[in-house]
Amino acid sequence: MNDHYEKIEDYLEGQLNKADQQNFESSLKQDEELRHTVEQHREMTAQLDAMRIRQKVKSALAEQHTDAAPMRPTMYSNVWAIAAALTALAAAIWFFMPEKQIPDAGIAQQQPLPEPPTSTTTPPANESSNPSNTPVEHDRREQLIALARTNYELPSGTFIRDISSGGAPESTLTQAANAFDRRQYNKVLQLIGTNQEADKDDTARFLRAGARFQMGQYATAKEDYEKLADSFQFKHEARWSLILCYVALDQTAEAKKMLKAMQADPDAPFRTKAIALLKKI
Amino acid sequence: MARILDFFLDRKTNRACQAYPDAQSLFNGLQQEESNAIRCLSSKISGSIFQIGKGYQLTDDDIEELICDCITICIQKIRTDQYVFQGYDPASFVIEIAKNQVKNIKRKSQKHETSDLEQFNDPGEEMVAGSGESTEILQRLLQKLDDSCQNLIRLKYLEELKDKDIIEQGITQYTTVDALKNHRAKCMKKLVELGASMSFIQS
Repeated sequence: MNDHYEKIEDYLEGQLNKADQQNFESSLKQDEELRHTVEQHREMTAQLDAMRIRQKVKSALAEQHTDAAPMRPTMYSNVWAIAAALTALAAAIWFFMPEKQIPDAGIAQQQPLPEPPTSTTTPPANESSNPSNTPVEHDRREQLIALARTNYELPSGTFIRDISSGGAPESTLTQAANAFDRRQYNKVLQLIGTNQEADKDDTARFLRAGARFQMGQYATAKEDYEKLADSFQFKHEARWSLILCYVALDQTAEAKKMLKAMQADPDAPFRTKAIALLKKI
Repeated sequence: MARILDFFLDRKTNRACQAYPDAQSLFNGLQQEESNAIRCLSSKISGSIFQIGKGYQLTDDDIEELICDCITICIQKIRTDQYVFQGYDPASFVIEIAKNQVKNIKRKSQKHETSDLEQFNDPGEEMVAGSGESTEILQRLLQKLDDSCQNLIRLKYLEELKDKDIIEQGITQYTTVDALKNHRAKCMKKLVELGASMSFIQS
């Protein structure tokens, strides 16, 4: 049997010469164990081929998502993005509409609309809703978060898979990249959230920042993106994502400052998006 | 409606279908595993599979995996001549695959609480080759082999490099095709034994 094992692959691929093939088939008829082994080998080869095809399909679909829609965390997120943008527009129109005189007919006059908050203090790190926020402030904040998230670009699938394939399979970074690819952002943060290595490695920091953003931890995501703003590899994505963190945190003054700088730079990769976002905030 | 949304939202993907004006050409493209054919097929089926998936309360991530699984199965069946072109659009075939797959997914999710490799020993379990689940298990089996074995199997079966090219490019430590094949046979034997012990393949 041992002699035959080396020939199984050639036999399954039809690579044996005529004499060897006849010998092998003769052995198959007589040796039940060999027959069983050949079937196992055939099954495993089929599984490996299926894996290969699957990787090709994933790669093709990932390129499709990268080309057609920069951010596509869910199947129909574009529909929600359009709905969120329309809601934000409607809210902005309502918010900035001039007050109308209501005839005094025993109906209480409407209170003047509150001024948008001008504070630039950073909200609590856990991003939970502040009980002291008024409903209007809460709505505004929700709209800004929706605006930030619809403009956010996930790191490309190709980039994430490069991290996975470039490192040792059991390394923390590889596990984090695999978790990110599966959109298990909580797991990513469990692996590298407080990892000191992530503070020294731009790639790990970029991954962590993306996970933090996705988990709604905009303050800590902002810290990571600030550190990456001058990174050779990530500076453009980091600066764009930093702007979105400012938007989500209602620090629109800082966001506008960076957006105007991008608008003024004809070579800025995110210039078109910056111009569009500037109009919305 | 789902297909209309797909067309409206993903125009670039539908450009991939320009090279496949009819079902036969799409089938041929899938047979050759062309990326554009895969993208074209995806654009045709995504909406319908999304609806099917939502009918079974699958998450968006699960539905994306399901689409990937179904396209993989379709290409496999084309390559092994289990699916022969008979004039119908491959998209219809894939949607039928999806309907079966989604029932399997729900059945399995009710059956299994864990995906721990060591506990995967249910011989009656139907493991569809190329599905996310089987790929993940196979990946873990491969990781149990040493680096040299993983490399040999990956070069041949996943990257489809010919032995002659592997030797000429000096990618491995082997200098002859016979030595390469000899060692790979041992690696495959280990992989098969691992797979059989875990009931991933017949034991």
